[in-house]
Amino acid sequence: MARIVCTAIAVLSLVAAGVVVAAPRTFVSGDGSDSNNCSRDFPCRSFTAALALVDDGGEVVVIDTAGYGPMRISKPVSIIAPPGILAAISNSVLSDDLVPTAIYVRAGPSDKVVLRGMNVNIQAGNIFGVLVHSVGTLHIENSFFKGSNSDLAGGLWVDALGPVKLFVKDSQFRTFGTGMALRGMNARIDAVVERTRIQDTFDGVTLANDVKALMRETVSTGNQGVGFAAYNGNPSITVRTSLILERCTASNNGGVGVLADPASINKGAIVSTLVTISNCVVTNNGVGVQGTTFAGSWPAQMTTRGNNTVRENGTNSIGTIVSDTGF
Amino acid sequence: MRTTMKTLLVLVCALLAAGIVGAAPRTFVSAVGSDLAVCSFGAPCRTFTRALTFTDPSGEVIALTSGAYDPFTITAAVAITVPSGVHATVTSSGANDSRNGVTIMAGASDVVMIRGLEIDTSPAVSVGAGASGISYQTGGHVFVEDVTLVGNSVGYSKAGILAEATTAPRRLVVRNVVERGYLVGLAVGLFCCSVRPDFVDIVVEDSQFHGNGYAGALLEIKGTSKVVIRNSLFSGNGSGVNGTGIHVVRGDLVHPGAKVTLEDNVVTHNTEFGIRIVGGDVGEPIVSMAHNVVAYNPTGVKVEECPSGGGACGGGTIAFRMGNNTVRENSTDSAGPVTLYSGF
Repeated sequence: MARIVCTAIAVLSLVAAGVVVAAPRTFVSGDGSDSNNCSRDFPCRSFTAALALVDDGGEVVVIDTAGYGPMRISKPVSIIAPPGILAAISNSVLSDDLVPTAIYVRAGPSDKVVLRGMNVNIQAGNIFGVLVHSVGTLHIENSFFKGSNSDLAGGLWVDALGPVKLFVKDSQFRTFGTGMALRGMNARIDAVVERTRIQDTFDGVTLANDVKALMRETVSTGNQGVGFAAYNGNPSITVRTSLILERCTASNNGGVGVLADPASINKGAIVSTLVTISNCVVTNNGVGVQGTTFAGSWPAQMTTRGNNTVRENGTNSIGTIVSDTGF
Repeated sequence: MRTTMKTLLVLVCALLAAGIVGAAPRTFVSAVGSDLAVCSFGAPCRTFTRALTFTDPSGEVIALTSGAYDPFTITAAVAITVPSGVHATVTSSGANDSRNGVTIMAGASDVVMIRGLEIDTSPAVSVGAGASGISYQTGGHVFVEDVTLVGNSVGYSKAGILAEATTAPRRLVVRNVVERGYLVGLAVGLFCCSVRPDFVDIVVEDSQFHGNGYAGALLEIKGTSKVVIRNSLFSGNGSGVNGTGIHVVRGDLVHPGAKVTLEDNVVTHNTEFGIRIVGGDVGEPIVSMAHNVVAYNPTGVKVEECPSGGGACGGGTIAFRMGNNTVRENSTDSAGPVTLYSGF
């Protein structure tokens, strides 16, 4: 008899909260509960619960402003907080290599992940904003990431085992060790960054090894070290680190505004790192722009379209700067 | 007879409970609404289709809550509005759902606005489902603003925005749109017709087209069309070696190609061409490029005054550059003749 009563109660609970099955679209709310099925009528309380119940390729939609906790993303999914709604995260999960991070992306090699409208505010500790170890395509849109001023954490840190396509737009990264680190140590990273702001970090944007990045209308300012920097330590002479900046601003950085950093290894005459700047403003930095500072091997090349404003830096330009007249 | 009366009575009571049914300048939909309601703010409908039937010409349908909504067809002047704070998704019902997200079959002078909506046809994965996000078939002036379009990247949905009408449409404005995962992002003339579509003008601004199976934009239009694409991104298009950011093709046998202006765009990481312009013996397009960044494509700018597949060739000048584009870091930056023009 008791068993029947318990079963009846369980069934009634499921009916009350909706039957728990995976769905193409799940919801979270500040008034939700992780005992729910994450439907529109019975939203969950945390991203983690809503992610568990959403189909591959589905959406987790934020209904109202609240904190929703850190998350690990291991499948294709979109996390959407519409304009006017703040989806806050201030805690961390651990990555597979035990790094604390607010959002950890460890999805399949062809998976597409969208983060829109995230608001990460790390109050203390060496906690990363977004740490990416594997994904096919990652879109970060209209999101805000603030670190705890720790030099050891990155705002967006991509260090994937396989190729990654990265799109960032209309976002901000503040007070991390590195605002945005794209590390093509193991595989190629193709990146497009638009209308994004990196501010008050130690280093603003750093690219390493097999990265092809195009940044437009993006600002890197007030960082202790570099604004934008590209560096190549890949032993293959065919792999070039490449950065194109269009209508970007590098200002008020303690180090170099825009740096094409020579490789640490001898690559002969091959240009290992190539940075192109066009229509950019580089001002109030320790050094404005810096290309290769010495002749010989492992050259890095800084190319200017001749339409940049490079003024009022401690030293405006160091090293060889190559001109490109445009097409 | 008694049953009929009873049904009628229930219906009348339902209508009274939901408010009186009549056309209104402004109707509302909600994920918790009902199509038995009158689509008012207090009694919203569940579907756009139902709300449209209660909306005055040139009226407005507003989504009140986040959630999924059925695909729908617009046949008259109307504004579909999703305000900030609401994430309303028009979505396919399943793998074999071949419906477009939004189909526009309005009158020749009707103005249609779609604002703030997400359209997700990615569930339609069956080969041949052929759904597009927005299919613009007839209408006077269509605005698509702040819209997200999501295809499936698997069987490849047809087009994010498909403008395929051969008569009547006049203007298409696409602004602040994010599109991904279709065969083509913006397709004009691709899937129809021996006679190319006829637009007075097409303007695309501040938008993104990426991850499509073939192209970010494919423009195959009559010469009466004037196309301006500015400050937009075309990236990561191509599922294999065939992938183009912006592909402009000649018009048809009777009409010259369109005049296309590309200004301030970023065209990058596509699998074959950044910008590809193809002419022929008749119907040649004229493409002008200024302030664009074209990088990290196998070929940056490809111009074929004569089609590479053979056929008659007029050999006229079809591509112009202003000298202020950044075309770098492609395996081949430029192939084919491009004429330099000066600024004003």
